[in-house]
Amino acid sequence: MSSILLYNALIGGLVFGAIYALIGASLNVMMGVLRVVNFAHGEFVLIGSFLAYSVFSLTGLNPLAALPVVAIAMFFGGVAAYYLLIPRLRYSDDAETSSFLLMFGVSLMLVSSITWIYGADIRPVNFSFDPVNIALLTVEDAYGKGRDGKVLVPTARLVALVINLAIIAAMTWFIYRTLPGKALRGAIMNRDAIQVVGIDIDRLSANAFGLAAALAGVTGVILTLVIPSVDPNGGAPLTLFAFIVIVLGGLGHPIGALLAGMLFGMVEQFSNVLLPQSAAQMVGFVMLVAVVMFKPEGLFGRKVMR
Amino acid sequence: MSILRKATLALAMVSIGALASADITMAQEPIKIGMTVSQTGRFALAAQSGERGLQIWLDDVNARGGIEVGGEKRPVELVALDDRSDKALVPRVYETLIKEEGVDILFGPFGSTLTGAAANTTEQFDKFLMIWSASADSIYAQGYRNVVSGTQLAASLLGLPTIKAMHANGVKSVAIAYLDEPFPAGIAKGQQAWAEANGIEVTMVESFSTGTKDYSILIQKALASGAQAFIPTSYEGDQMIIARQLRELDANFDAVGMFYGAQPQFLEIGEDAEFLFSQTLINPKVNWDVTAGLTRAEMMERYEALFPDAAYEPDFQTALAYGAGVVLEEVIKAADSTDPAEMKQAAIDLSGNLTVMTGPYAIEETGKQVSMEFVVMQNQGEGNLEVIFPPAVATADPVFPAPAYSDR
Repeated sequence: MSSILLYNALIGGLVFGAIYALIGASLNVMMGVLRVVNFAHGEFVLIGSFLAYSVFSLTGLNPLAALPVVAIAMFFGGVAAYYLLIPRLRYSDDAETSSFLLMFGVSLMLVSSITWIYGADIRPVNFSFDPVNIALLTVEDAYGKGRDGKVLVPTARLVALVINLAIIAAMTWFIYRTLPGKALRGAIMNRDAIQVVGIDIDRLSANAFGLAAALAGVTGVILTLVIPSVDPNGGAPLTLFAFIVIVLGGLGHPIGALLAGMLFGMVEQFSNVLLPQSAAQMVGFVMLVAVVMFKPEGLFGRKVMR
Repeated sequence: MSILRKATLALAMVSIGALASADITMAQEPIKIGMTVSQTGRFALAAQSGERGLQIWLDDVNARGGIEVGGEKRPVELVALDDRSDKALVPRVYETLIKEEGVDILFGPFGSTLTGAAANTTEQFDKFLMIWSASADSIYAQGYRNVVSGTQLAASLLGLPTIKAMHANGVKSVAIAYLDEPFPAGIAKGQQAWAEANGIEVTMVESFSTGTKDYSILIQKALASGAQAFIPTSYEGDQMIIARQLRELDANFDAVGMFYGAQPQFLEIGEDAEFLFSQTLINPKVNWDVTAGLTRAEMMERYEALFPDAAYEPDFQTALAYGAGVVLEEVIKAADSTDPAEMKQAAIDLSGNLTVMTGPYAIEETGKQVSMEFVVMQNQGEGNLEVIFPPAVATADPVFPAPAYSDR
């Protein structure tokens, strides 16, 4: 096997791992604080991608130009969606199951809305950086018969990785170093207890919903650099990845989700090298099943003692 | 009563009688055709493109008063329901079409995956199924009695123009990758078999799963296999991503075959769509002497008139569905019935005796289409599409080997 494949797997693992990490972490904030099983999370990501596509197709600007608009719009949209949808779940006997059904409905509604606005077509985001790629190193005889190969990183992926890592760093700082972040962690640990110290749980939950929606939207914008097309039906696989990351990392463990996302990305990419691509996808799911069976609290989660 | 009043009354009665008679003619029971069209999901783009082709045929046939059956012209009515690109949903919707909507004849959904699911149901209820886009050979190996592919060539033959064109240009080795579904797998296996039988070394054959969005490792594997040419076969959205990732990775092959590379939507991706070997059967430079239905130019005109706001021009899905509609009309006329067994026999009898917009029609007894071969196109820069194979209809020599990405 050519070592150039392993280098490429490493790069791909970092790029996709960071994306999975961010999707998983944003869902984890929502699930951890609100106990809302957000089955529409992939569609939240998709909204960001379509807004980036709109900015690109209308102005010709880099899709990243949509980042601030998407972050702000999705935050306030998320807060509004919280007040519209979530408080009603309190009246349910089984709020978590009801939230799953509610958000499944929201997912269908969002797919239909996107299809109605943009049509069913897959839309290319035909934006390129110049140069289109950057050579990291040359591997001698990479392809046999004396053919050297270069380890190339598409510039778009490199940019996506850098922005993703910056957001992850900012998010980690926010959660561990700021008062609202600590309040979020507190709500994840014990939703009832933090109300005793005077925190308005409703307001905190609305902000958590907004933050998760904003992070999902921002991930969608970044995703258009890595996968340069937008598909109205692309949300469901993203939701699946988000749930996998949460199960791997541990529910309500934001840093666990980040690490699990990176791990899942790496496993997926190296499996692609070592196995036929159609079989490789299985490896991630085998890992998921193994974690559920042997470490159900997640790789980075802690057992809850009652 | 005066003569004038009697004459007026008689005239009025005759007029009423004439109107009633006209009403009877107008009220001829329509031939109801049922199908599913994906409104959402990964097949939505192609399914809706095909539906527009069928609507052109419906508009045309009804403008001509319908199809003559039993000495009377019957209008044609389409009942189209959504299948959400979901093969689990398709059998239930086809059952609804048959049992609740009371359709006479079924038209297939888009693609082999969904059509395979639909065919089980139409056979179970003994209904005729006209297929317009399902090419998987496996469908025609099930022993179905009432299934006919009107226009879509079988998958094992469908991809051959690309590999033949590569062979004609001296390609000695090829790497093949495909989405693990009946249609792309059928194409890939047909290409692999033809390549091996004709002295082209197949350096890699690898499948990938639905939902794959990152093909960089697959592309690197193809490069590492030492292949001179690369043929990744999947649906259009996937191929657009692969085209982009080939350029991002500076993956230079002498030729790359992408089935959908000449589609209007595909051309929108710009430079990434250049120099690919792609296939189509609708192009201003490909015109058949049709014996039934509209010519290509006439169909294009109707398309513009009927769908002025369509996001895209008609593509080969539109042509396939339109052509299958025309074949269906000829089958009903020849059978003089909508009975499935009589229609199947008529479809077999018409084989080799009919040419529609998409080409000559020929089927095996299984209903498998063995004619209507696609031509190979190449975008030779800035969307300039040329026919490069077969030589008999070629409008330009291929650009071969394709220029390296760094030289474009």
